[in-house]
Amino acid sequence: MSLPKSRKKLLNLFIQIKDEAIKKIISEVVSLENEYRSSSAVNFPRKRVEDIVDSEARLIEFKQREGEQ
Amino acid sequence: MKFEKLTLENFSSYYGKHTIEFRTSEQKPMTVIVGGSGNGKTSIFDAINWALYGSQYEPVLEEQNEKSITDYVNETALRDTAQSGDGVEMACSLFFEHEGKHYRIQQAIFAKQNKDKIEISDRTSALHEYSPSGNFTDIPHVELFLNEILPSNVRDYFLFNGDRINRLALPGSSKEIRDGIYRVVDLELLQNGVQHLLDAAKKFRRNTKEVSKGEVAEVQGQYTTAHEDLETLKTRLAGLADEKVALEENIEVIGNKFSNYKETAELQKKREHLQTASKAKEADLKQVIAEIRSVAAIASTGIILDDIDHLEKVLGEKRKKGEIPSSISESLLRDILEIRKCICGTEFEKGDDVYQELSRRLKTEIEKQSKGQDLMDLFFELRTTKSHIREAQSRLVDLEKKRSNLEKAIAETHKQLENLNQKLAGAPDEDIAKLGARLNELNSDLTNIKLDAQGIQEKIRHKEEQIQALKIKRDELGVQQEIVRKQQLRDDLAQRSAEELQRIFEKFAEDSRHEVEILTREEFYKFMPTARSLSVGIDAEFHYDVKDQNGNPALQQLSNGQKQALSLAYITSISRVSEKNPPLVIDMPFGRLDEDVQDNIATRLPDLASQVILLMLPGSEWNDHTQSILKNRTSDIYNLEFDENYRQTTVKKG
Repeated sequence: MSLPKSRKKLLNLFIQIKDEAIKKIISEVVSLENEYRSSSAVNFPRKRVEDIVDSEARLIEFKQREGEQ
Repeated sequence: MKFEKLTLENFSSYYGKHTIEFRTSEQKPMTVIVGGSGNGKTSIFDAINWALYGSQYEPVLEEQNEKSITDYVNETALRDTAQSGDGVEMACSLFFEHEGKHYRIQQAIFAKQNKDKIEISDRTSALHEYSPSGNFTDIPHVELFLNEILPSNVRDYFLFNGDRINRLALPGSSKEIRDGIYRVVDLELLQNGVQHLLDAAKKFRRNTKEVSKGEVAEVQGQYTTAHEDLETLKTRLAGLADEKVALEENIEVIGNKFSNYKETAELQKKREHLQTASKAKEADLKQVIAEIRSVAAIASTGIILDDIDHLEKVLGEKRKKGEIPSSISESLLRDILEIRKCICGTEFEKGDDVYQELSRRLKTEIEKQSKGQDLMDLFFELRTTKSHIREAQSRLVDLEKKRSNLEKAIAETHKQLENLNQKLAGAPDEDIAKLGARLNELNSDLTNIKLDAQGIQEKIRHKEEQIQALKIKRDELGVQQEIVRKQQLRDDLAQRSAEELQRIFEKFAEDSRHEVEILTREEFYKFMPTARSLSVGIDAEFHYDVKDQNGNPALQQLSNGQKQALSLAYITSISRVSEKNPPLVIDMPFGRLDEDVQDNIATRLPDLASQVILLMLPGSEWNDHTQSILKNRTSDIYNLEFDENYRQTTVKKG
């Protein structure tokens, strides 16, 4: 299935994000939102958004530690 | 995507199993289903929706039709099973093709009558891919699959009715226009994502505050409060933006009424003028008719003109012959007798023979005169009569012409009056002064809101600067405490992600609005080629934006039908932006459509999508005229026949 024009435009905007960590967080949060789009807002797993951010933060911290060593 | 077949079983007035095939092709992309009011037309529309979206569509049925899904279980089928206690299966299946594969989606419920209530004992929802050999493969996650090919949130732009076209043409539809654009390109996903990230950032800030100590805790506290203030300000700004939209829509509605009122006043003035003119013309006509009657009496004697001519000729000849005397001979004889001398020179005396002879002749002349004068009088009277008759005939021609012109003018005036009366029938009855005052009040509120919004935007800028300054300080201090630094990093990541996603959202929303605007304009010009001089669009606040050649607002100058064409252009542009190429199913497309645009829209309908299914009323929608436009592009025509006694519908191929 080819990507609709609107999705291509969105992808183009997304590619322009320079910070890789931010890019990763946004893509995962939007993907999670897409997964739960048909469900009620009450069922949305907010904790998973925090986990996505936490996971990227850990990676940054790890890289920082590696850089320091 | 292309619909292939719909089957209904014990659904609404469809007792037993009924099938409608959609065998459309590129040349004949339309299927027309014709049914009178209450014959089961809208049930087919509901059946397609229910088959596709199942329980997601049921709240729509309750909201729009005030019916629960159990109200759709066929009455006769329920009665059939009442004795046995068995349930009734009500099912709708839609067979469709998508990207070369064939699918069947089916919704079914098993219902039982329990005293006054109909209870659902079981329900199934299934999507299968099927092969030409008849093998079925289950497709799991029906909703996810359908969301990819025909998302339910944009359903209203593929399956809609004439009311929707009309509603979107009315003032105050900007929110719906915005929602359509947001939904079709999934802007809601981005909007929700921003909110989730902001919530996460808030949570991390709270954590940071909890774990920090001393000066770090103090600065972190200020930083958190500044963020909360910023959020409050942004919420207020969003509230003001909503209020602004609501006010603008109110202004649009009242402005529309106001302009209608002005139009009404002008129409009423025109009507008064026409009524006066009509009365004057009717009085003229009355006078002309009276004159015609009197002149016609004289003119009708024209039939004796030939006789008069003949008589005049005879009399003229007699005069020539001297059979009718002239007064000359009498006066000559009198003169001769007076001077006693004849014209031959003979003199005579009174009493002699000449005198007596001349006296005798004078006497004869006088006698002749009395007889001849009558004839002379008749001769001249005939001439006068002839002239009167001819004049009357000529006048009668002029008067008849005048009468015909007056009658035409009166008929035309009456026609104009009838049109005006029709237009004035639905005219607003509000007091124009009150409307004007309300409009001024709303405009003043709008100015205040704009000023408030400017003030808040200024505060937001200030608060953002404060947050930046606090962030630098907070980061410097945070380094001192490892655990604080960790939470700050998470807060920053979530906050920056939210801001970046918000930026993408705004850019994408604007691009999408612009795309829908271009498509709406193109489609509107196809519907209304004569309106190409108008600039048509959707402005940044999602209002229809129509301007004339001089750049002046012209939305209110569009006829109701043209506004409907604009809203249909918008609906179909949403469908195009989605790139799903779904079938268009329109229930009563011309139901609320003004006559002045019906032809243009009917002509364009077959090209709006690769498959178009129309549910139409006989007569007012499906008539000789629409048939002449649509029949050649229609693959199948179905007639819905409703049996009043059994309250059942049967589908007959037309």
